[in-house]
Amino acid sequence: MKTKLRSYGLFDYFNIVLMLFLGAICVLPLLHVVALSFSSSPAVLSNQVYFWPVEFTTAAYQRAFEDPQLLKSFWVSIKRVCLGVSIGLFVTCMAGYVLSKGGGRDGIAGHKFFIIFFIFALLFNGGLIPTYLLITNMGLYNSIWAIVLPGLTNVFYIILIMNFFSTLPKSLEESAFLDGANHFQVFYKIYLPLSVPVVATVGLFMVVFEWNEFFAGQIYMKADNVPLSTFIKSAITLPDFSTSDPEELQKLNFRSISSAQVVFAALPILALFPVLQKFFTRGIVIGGVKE
Amino acid sequence: MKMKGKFLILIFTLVLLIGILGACSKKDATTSEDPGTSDSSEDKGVTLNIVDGKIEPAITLTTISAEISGTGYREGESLTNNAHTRWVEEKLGINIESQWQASLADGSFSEKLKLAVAGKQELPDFFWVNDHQLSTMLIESGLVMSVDEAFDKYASDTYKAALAESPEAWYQFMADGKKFAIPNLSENKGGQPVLWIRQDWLDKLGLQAPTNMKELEIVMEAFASQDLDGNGKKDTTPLALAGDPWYGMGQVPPETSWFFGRFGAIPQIWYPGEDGKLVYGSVQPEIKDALVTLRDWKAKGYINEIALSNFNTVVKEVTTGNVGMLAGPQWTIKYPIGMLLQTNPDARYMPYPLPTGETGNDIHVLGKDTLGGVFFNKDISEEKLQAFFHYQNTLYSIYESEDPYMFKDFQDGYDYAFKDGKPTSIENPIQSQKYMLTGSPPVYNSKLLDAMIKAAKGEELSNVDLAALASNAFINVDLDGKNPLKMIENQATIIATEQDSVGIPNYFTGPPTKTMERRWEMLNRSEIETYTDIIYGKKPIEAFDEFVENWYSSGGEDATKEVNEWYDSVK
Repeated sequence: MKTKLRSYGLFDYFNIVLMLFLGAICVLPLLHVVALSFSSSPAVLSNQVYFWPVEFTTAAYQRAFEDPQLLKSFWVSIKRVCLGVSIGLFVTCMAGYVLSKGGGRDGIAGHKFFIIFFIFALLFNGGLIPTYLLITNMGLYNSIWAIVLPGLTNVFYIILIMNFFSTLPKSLEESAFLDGANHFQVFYKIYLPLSVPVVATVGLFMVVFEWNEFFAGQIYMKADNVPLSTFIKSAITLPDFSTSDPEELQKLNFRSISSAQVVFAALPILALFPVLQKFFTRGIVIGGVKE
Repeated sequence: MKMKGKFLILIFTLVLLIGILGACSKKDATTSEDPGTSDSSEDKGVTLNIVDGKIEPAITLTTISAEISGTGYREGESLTNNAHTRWVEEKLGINIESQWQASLADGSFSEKLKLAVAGKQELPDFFWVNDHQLSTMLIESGLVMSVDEAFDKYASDTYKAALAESPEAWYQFMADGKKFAIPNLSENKGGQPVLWIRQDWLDKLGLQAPTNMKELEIVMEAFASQDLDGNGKKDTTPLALAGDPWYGMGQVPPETSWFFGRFGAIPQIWYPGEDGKLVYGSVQPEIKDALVTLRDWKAKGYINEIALSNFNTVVKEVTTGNVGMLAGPQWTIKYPIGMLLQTNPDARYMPYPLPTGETGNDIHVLGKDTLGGVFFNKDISEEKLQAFFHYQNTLYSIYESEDPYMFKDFQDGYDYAFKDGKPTSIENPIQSQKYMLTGSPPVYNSKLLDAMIKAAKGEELSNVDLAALASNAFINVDLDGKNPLKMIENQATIIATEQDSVGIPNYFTGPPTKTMERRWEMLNRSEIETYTDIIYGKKPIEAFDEFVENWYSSGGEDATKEVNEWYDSVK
């Protein structure tokens, strides 16, 4: 491997400064929340905390974990991610495989129709009330499936995977067929192993989505069965100032506690990112790239 | 030929899809009908068999539960299974089934309820709603029962008497001359504002607390010019007022309506003018003088950045120790002042009566007198209705009880600890009133206020007084008077009820009128902009006259007419 030595130009310096600046913009809010979570409540309230804890204390974490709902919700979120991502990835990859075959002799009948069908679903949806009625009338209310099934796959992900699959050489699959493989074997033994980057990338997207999405939990689940994201959402929502209930208003005090909850909820995703991030550059191919 | 084949397959799939969908919807129809039929097959008794306050056999009521933020639980308890629900089950013979629960603060409760109503789902037997928009939607949906008859028939005398004290509490639930929900009263008389002053600053300067606007200016001048927090910067706020989201914000500290009220009008609310018709406070001529004074004070540095200040920002200022004076209800000492004491134990705020104005007509906003209301499914059975009133009547019966601690079954260990026949305060009380099925405890304002003042003055409390305090679990408050903050709070309660200032509620509690729906946002915006521009000296005071003229011509006049039509229809 050849390394090219050259001096830094003005552009490079400018670039470095710009990137450092952008990086700081992304990291500082996170640091701020971490600092809040380790600071004492009065310090937080009088706005003394920036990026370093003031009057360091772990009291906020103790208080946060005193609420049994935090761990219960954590468990619901874990279930949701496991089910949603494993089933979702499977369904998405299968759909991508079939659609990547195209129309014609080797492909599926009505290929164009299905593409349009999916694109249509990408652009339009049924709306909140019909979706709510569908879910509740199917008896999914307050079941984990109510938050897993509706977001199981995403047309955008299918297109990502479909495009990746169609860049794989046709000859691989043809030789497999000659050796007597069927479609499922080809999919499972040839396409999937060759597509780790895109599958990992889409998987990461799904994990992040399932972890962060709060609205479904808010609507379809009972209060003691909500995923972590919904729990945090309601924990950090500020009370309505028009109430004259001091207890309610005191909730503002709890900024350090909700920061602790936010930090706790962010940890799994933060831990997962560096592991899967290396697939990113190779994984996302939307279209137009040939071998 | 090939094309044709494909086309056939396509059609085939479509037909199949439609078939599947059809099958699904049929199945849905049968399943959703099931609970309905079993419900109606119950036999309908007209009177309940009540033995020792317990309904026999037990009756089941369905509801939906809104979780009030900050609700505390013991281990293993929840909104739907706690000391109170167990008490309801064991003592009253009412089983409560909660169809779903959701948080009130983040809006998920109203979101879910809206979806349920829009989706024409079966409503529970009863439920409480504390949201104006939702109430209007429910009344318009035709899915809720009008309560006039039931309330007349089943409510106890005490319950009726308590509600008779605030006839205007019903207004917001009325349509076509009928009442559609029973209001939950809120105790607000004790929540009138007083002026909180940094006593340590006053003492340092050797000043007296101001009793009128002239003296107030002298104190503000001193607070502004002397560096009282001793940080070498001129950053103290002699008087905290708030203009965000509106001027004349009431109840929550910093209470600002009192300032405008010194001149004789309160912005943003509707109240009866001289002829008894409702007028809109923001466009009254008295406001002009108030704005001139504010402009003057702003220039002299007597007040904070009023246009940007709201409760949130003022809490921060108070906690940093910058604020010299602010108006607020008696609990201001607990929060936000209590927060300041954690960092600066020497800071001392004391309550004083609001300074008097020059017109002799001193007013301020009185907070909402309701905490929402209880709605009933229009198909609720007579039996279940009686069961609900049995619950409410029992709660209200504490006001006529010889035993103030008749609720200790669910209050003991939550609001107070019962020791040797007496309640004692506990460290971190859990407010059991947040478990109430109607979202709030039984409130009988006059009795409650009497008892609170007696307690505040340290007078001997009779059983009747104790019962009133116990009804709202105010008994948890340190009755022996050892807690200094509680002493100050008591003092504030006395001052608030004895000062000359008059509290005026917002009389308009109906749904937005037609003109309001179209124009109100615009009118509000121009109002707030005009006020801000005048206070900050960007526009001359004449801008106010122009605004008033515009206000009337671009919808205000129609809105006033509509508001009065509504008022005539309910009062």
